[in-house]
Amino acid sequence: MDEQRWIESILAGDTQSFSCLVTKYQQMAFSIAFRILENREEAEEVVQDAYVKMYRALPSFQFGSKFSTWFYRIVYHTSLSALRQQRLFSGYDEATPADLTDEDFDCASEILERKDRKELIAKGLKNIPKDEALLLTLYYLEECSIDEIHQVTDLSVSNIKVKLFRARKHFYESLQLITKHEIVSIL
Amino acid sequence: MNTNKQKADRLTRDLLKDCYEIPPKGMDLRIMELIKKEAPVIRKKDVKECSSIGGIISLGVGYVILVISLITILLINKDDLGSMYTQLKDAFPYILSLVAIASSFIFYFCMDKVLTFSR
Repeated sequence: MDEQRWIESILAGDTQSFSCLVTKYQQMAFSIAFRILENREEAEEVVQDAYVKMYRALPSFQFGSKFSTWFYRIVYHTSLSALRQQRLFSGYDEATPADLTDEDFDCASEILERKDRKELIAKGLKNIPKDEALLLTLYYLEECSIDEIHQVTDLSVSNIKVKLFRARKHFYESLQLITKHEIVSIL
Repeated sequence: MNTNKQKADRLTRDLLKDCYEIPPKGMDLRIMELIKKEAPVIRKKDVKECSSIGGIISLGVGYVILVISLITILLINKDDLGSMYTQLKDAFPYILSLVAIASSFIFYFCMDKVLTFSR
């Protein structure tokens, strides 16, 4: 409920309280923008733009909804505008991908122990389609619920579930490829 | 199958833990610079709301009623100004109290707005 206090202060004219919102959400906002745009400079511009839009729209924010979801939706749509695209996700995907194999699990467990885990994860996410990387970021990193992802992206709940399943599979395959390349380069 | 999904969920969550993209240095300061430039937008809106048309109309109606009341009292008692002064004298403490309350309310209301918008 920190946000409510901060927002009330901002609306009363205390601009300094806005820095609390910046500090709390800038990492996730930047992560969303970067997943979509795949460029740090453009992602920063989009995040700045999204914060300004959010500031202007603050008087209309309803405290009944979750602030983070509301703001991430602004970041998501601002990123799409920067990409000059109306939609990031393709149509409904009915094909069910195969489940994770033991090999996928073993490789992921190995990576979990490694010191350069964050770099490998960043590479792994970069090698899969950006809509899938975004879904994984929202669901596993930010721990948004399926319903919250639906509010951010406008995707249907069933579609999100299918795409998440597929995204996870592709992500594990991407991690395997990276580790195989490492072994080959060492040899 | 369900256990496999739970295991995959947990493992993926652990893998992605804290893997945020780190924003460029100083991005937060640049955002705050932009917000400070935007600040008057919200303030102007609030100032406008303070002097809404409804408020101005009700203030005007109040003044008109006050003037009409004074004129009516003068017209009724024009033949006997002496008794009017006596009546005014009797009601003076009440009038003074009402004026003091109204003045204090207006003064502190304005002071509150001035302090809010001069921050």
